[in-house]
Amino acid sequence: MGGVTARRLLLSFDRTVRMIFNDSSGGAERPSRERDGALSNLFPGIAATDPAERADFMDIAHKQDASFDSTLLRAMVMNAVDGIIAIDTHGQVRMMNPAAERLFGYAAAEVLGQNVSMLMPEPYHSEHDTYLRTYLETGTRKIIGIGREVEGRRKEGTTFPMYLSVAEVRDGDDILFAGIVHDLTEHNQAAQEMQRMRSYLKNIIDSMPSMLVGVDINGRVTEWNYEAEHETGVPSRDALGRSFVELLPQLAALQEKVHEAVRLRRSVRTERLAVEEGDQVRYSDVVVYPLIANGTVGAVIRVDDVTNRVRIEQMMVQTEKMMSVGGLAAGMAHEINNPLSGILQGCQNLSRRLSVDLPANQVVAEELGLDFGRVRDYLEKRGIFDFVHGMHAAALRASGIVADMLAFSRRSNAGFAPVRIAESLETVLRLADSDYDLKKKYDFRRIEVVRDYDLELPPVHCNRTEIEQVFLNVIKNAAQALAGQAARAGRITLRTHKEKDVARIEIADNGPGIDENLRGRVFEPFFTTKPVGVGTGLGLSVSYFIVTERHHGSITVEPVPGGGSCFVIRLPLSGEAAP
Amino acid sequence: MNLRVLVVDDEPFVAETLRAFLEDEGMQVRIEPSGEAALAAVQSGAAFDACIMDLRLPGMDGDVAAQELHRLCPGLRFLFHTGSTDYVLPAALRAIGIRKSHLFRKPLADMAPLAKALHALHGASTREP
Repeated sequence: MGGVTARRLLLSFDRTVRMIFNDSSGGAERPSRERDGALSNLFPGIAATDPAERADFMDIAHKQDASFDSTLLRAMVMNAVDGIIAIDTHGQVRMMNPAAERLFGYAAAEVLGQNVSMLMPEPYHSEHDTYLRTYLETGTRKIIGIGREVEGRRKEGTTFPMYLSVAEVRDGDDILFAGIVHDLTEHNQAAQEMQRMRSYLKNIIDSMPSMLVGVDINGRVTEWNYEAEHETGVPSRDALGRSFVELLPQLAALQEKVHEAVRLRRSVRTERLAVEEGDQVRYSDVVVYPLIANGTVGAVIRVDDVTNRVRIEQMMVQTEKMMSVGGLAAGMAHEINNPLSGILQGCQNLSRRLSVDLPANQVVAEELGLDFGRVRDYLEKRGIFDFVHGMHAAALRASGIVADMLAFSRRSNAGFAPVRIAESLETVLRLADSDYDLKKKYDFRRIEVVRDYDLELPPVHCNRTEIEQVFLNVIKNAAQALAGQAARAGRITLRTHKEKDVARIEIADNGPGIDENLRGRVFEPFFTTKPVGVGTGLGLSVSYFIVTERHHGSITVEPVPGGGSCFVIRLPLSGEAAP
Repeated sequence: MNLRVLVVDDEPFVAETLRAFLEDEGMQVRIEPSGEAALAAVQSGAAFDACIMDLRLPGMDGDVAAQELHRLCPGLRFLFHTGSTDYVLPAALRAIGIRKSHLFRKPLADMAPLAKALHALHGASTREP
């Protein structure tokens, strides 16, 4: 290789210089013949060259800028941070700067004249000659004039990622290639670290139970976490860039909040945002956080589905209401006892004063000239005694109902105690029998109650009031199911059974049954198939809560062959109060 | 001597049924509709051996009325007739000798035990020195 080689080399350095200075014009000039100093002095890595031939290359630099003398150019190449290597068309290395020496771990002398593929791991190592040939024969560029990420091989055998850009230097038929090698090790490590950080953050964002939607100021989605994907069914890649209002039309009202959050630079909260979803209402708590970073303005919308919480609260309010109704019932029961006293005591006086056993009766009759025996005959004949007995019995029954009600409303604070399930079922039947509100909808007395109690069933450790409330809810539900049907006589079957250490209680009706697709929903709060005003839709979900949460039991509903539903309640025999 | 019984109840018919039964048992019965009226009756000289007191009354409560009456005539014995099931005797009533067995729950399906308790009270009071 003579001076031409070296000259071209410098031409390529010139390009490097231009690259460094972002000059895109890229060395199109033809070199002039103006001479410069000895190149071999300038660049010791360059093989000896013919002074005549290398005469014309430095003038390019001179043309660029007069101050760009060879010393400066040399200094630049020798001090370049990136490695610079020049090869000829045979792949032989003609020049290597100190940065390249450091990168590859070779001294320039070890590499000069060798095939450059020694600096490459496989597959580049084997294929490099072919690349070169192919290019020279067909002009197909793999890297020349382009640059890409490849791997380098150090003297000690290890490899490292590098960015290689190759410039071609042509002068007549002579061709030289100059490569600039930029070590990507740190860059790649940083990129990996960034990627790791990114996926770490993404994991955190995705594992949030909340829906997190990042938006820009125009409401276009910039972040769409897993929960958002899950809730909407729209994958993140489809959501990005689209308007969030379009993706989440139920949150259209939030558009204003996004602007507000950005303008006020503080989070804006909306609680209990109600959204109708089919036949039910779902509730969300929504917080919009302003997001102002690096000049981009946007917001993060966090949506938490609080439907269950809202429903539990409503359930508690309902329970509270029921308890105050219970309190009212207690007060009412007290008031009812007074008139009942009048009736019962009046009946007793009536019986006594018509009886032959009370001597005073005879005395008064005689005073009035009446034959007391004849008076009694009359009363007998007119059925007066039966009326008196009837009144007494009716008042006694009323008093029994009041006592049950009082007991029911009063036991509410009682804890867990052994309870005879059959006894509780009977209490509940009496209560259901006298449930005034329900009587308007159906006549419980027309329902046949079949009892199939397991006499071996030991007492169940549970909260009696709560379990009776469950029985009452389920029995009322059964009775309501039966109210609608005129075709056949309504029947409720109560069955208890001991199953290992569990009490199995069945409450079955021969009503119309529950559609299979609704069966799973009957325990959902506010799910009701009854007309408005008949049920709150809470009875069964309260029951579910009591059985599963408070007693660690289970409650399910099964179809009954021939029509009807069977609620199956399982309670652990030795239950303990839930903490 | 006929037992003299004061019935304090704001429900006139309830009071009347009690009067009828107790009179048939040979007792003398006077009805007062309130604690205040009962006190006035005692203050104006009426004398009683026993009192059947309703607890929930307009104005003065039954237990307060009983304490007042006890102060006026310490020999007077009391039975309580109430619609409350969870009534717990206050210390003040226990202090004047009233026990759980003196509480009768409304409605009374049978008034005979009440009459019996009145007789027993009277017996107890006459045995006292």
